Amino acid sequence: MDELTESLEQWLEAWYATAYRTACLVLRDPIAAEDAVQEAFLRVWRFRDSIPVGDGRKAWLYRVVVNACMSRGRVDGRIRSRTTDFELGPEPASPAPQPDELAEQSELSTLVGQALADLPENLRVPLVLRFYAGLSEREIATAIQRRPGTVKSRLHAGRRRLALDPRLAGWVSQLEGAAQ
Amino acid sequence: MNDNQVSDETLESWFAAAASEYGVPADAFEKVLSAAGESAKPRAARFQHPRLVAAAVLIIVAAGGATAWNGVGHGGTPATATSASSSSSAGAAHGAPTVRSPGRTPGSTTDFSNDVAAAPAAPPAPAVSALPTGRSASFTDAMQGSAKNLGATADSAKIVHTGSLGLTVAKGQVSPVLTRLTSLATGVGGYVSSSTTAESGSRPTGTVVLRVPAGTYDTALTQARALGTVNSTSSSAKDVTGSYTDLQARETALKKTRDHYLTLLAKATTIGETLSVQQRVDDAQTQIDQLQGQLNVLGDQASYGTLSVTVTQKAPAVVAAKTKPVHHQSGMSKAWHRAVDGFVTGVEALVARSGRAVLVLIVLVVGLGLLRVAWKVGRRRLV
Repeated sequence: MDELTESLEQWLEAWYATAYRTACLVLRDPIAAEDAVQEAFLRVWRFRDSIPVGDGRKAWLYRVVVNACMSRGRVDGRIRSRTTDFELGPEPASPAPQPDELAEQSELSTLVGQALADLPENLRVPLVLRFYAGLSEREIATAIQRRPGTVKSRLHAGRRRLALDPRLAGWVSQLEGAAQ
Repeated sequence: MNDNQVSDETLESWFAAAASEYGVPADAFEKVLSAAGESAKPRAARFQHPRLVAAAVLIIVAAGGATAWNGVGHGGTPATATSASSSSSAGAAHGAPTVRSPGRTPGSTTDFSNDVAAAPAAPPAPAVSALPTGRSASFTDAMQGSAKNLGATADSAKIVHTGSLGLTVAKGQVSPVLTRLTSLATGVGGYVSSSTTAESGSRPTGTVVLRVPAGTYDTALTQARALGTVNSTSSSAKDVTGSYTDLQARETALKKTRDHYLTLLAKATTIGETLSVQQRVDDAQTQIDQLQGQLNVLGDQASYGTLSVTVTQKAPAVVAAKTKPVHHQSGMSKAWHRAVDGFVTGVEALVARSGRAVLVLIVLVVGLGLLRVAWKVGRRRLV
């Protein structure tokens, strides 16, 4: 294996899982997400000479991922909003949750998935990048090629839509109460 | 409830829960590494110079514009309306021109409307003799050689033959000719897919659409031409092998996908899983049915050529127009008529020149559109 492929492999190990799940949350389709992320990593590899160094690297990577997702969404004609995707891969093992915890988590994930699917794309993408991928507002602005002010307003609107979603109302009070 | 009630931590836990639904595919890394090894540098070099691509597009557009300009500028309509696809390699191998006999070359279209009105019907070799006259013998030989080579691959190719024929017949012969056309179709193993007759004034017309086996299409065309005076004809052959093969491949892939889902369906344990997989199975089956329908239609079109024949009764002899009587006009009247003539001539000139201007405008707009696309592609490839 040559040096470049090793470098790509290191990138995959470091970023693939998060990028793939980010694409899943954006596209709501694991197969399309896998294609999009594969395309994104191939672009990253192809244009590795122009990868910025330092903090900008993460935003740059997610910009490529988001672009690939949008291209995939356009190719598919729509960004799918189904919430009943059948599990196609094994879930990484976590420290043995109890059955009731599993049931709760599954219900929560389903509800969040439905709520996300109902959000428009311009709100869903910043929310996913912020609260799943962990990008800052400035990094999101780079990733989606919008101004930081636009990102801020979209995050605000998206959070508000989620907070007002009746499906998540019980989970808000439950989680916030537990935190307090 | 307002947005302040949902903290960052809560949102992060929600999104983490939603994301945990998606397991990372086990072979994802191998797929990417494999694709990276295959795509490699030649592909990277393809769009690394978007400006070169844009320049190439500009040159092509400019050449197209210049060609169009010359075509219009010389006031010429082409001497023949024959056009053919240059993608076929058979003619090139024999050094033949790209013009081919009608109804034989995939992707070719030939239209001789009104060019054959004076030509006698029923030529002995219609595929060649239907070409514009004045061709050299070597050209005809080359065409026949090309046709033979094409015939070697015709068995596996799916070619859709379509054509139309306009016939003029003597008074009272429209109905008998239509009957003979019907007999012609059934005689070569085909059928009549539609038939209409009409009578406008004292001139009855009738149209029949014949579906004949692809192998007998030329024969049927020849025999149909012999039934009257040909006043228009057009014929085309389109190779749909690629589309047919593509549809077949998609159908095969979808069947595999459906079988895979059926396997998953057997393993589903909950109602949610069952419904989810069943939905996928139904979707796949629907797409398979649609593809099957398209394959059937395409297969039918390739198996049977379509020939539309319009039969018209010959018009009665036109009585020569009477000579316009000469009026003695005053000077003012002559001046007025000259002014009207000048005005009409000016308007005609404007209209005639506007065609060229519109053509140039269209070429410019298309060129700019292509440049814009090339620029966008170039920029997109940078990230």
